[in-house]
Amino acid sequence: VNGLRNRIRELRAAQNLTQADLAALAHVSRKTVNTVENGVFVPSTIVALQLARALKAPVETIFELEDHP
Amino acid sequence: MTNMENDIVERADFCARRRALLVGLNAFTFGGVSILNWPRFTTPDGIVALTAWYILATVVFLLVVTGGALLGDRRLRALMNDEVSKANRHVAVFVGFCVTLAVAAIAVALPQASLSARTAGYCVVSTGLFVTLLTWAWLELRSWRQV
Repeated sequence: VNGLRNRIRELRAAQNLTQADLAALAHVSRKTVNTVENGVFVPSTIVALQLARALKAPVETIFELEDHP
Repeated sequence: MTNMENDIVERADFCARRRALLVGLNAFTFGGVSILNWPRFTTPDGIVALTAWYILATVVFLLVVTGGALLGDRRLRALMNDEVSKANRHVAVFVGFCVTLAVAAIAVALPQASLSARTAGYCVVSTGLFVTLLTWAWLELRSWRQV
C-alpha cells in the first residue's frame, strides 16, 4: 500500500516479540502495530522512529520504498 | 518492557475494540430511533420528538468529534485515539459528509411541496450521522484484521 514495504513482522519474529510486546515497547497501540505491519496504514515519522527504536534497528532497514532498487 | 506498559496497551486495545462495537451499535440505535421517530416528528405537535432526536444527534456528534474517550487517563486516551483511529475517523467524517451532500441534493431535487425544510434537515442529518458512525465502526473493526 502506498509503495511502502516493511520488515516489522520479520524483525519482531526474530526477537520473539508479539504485536502487543512491540506496541508496549514502542509506546503505540497494538492496532497501530497491526495496521502498519500489514501495510494497511502508512505511519508518521514519529511512529516509524518509535518502532525502529523498539526493534533496535535503523528506520531505513524497517521501511523501504517499493520502487527502491 | 514493564508489565505496566503491557497492561495499558492491552487495556487500550480492549477499550478501543469495545468502543468500535459501541459505535456500530450506536449507529443502528440512532438510525432506528430516527426511523421510529418519523411518524411522530411529522405531526404538528412533534416538537418533543424532534427535541429528543436533536439531543441524541448532538450526543452522537460529540461521540464522533471527541472519539468517545473523554473519560479515562491521558495515556489510555492517547493509545485509543492513535494515528490509525484518527485516520479512520477522518475517512468516516468525509464519507458522512459526502452522503449528507448527496441526500441534500436529493432533497433539493424533490418537488417543493413534498418535503418541508424541517423534514429535509431531519433526513440529511440522520443519514449523514448514521453513515459516519457505521463507516467509523467498520474501519475500526477492520484495523484488527490480520492480513
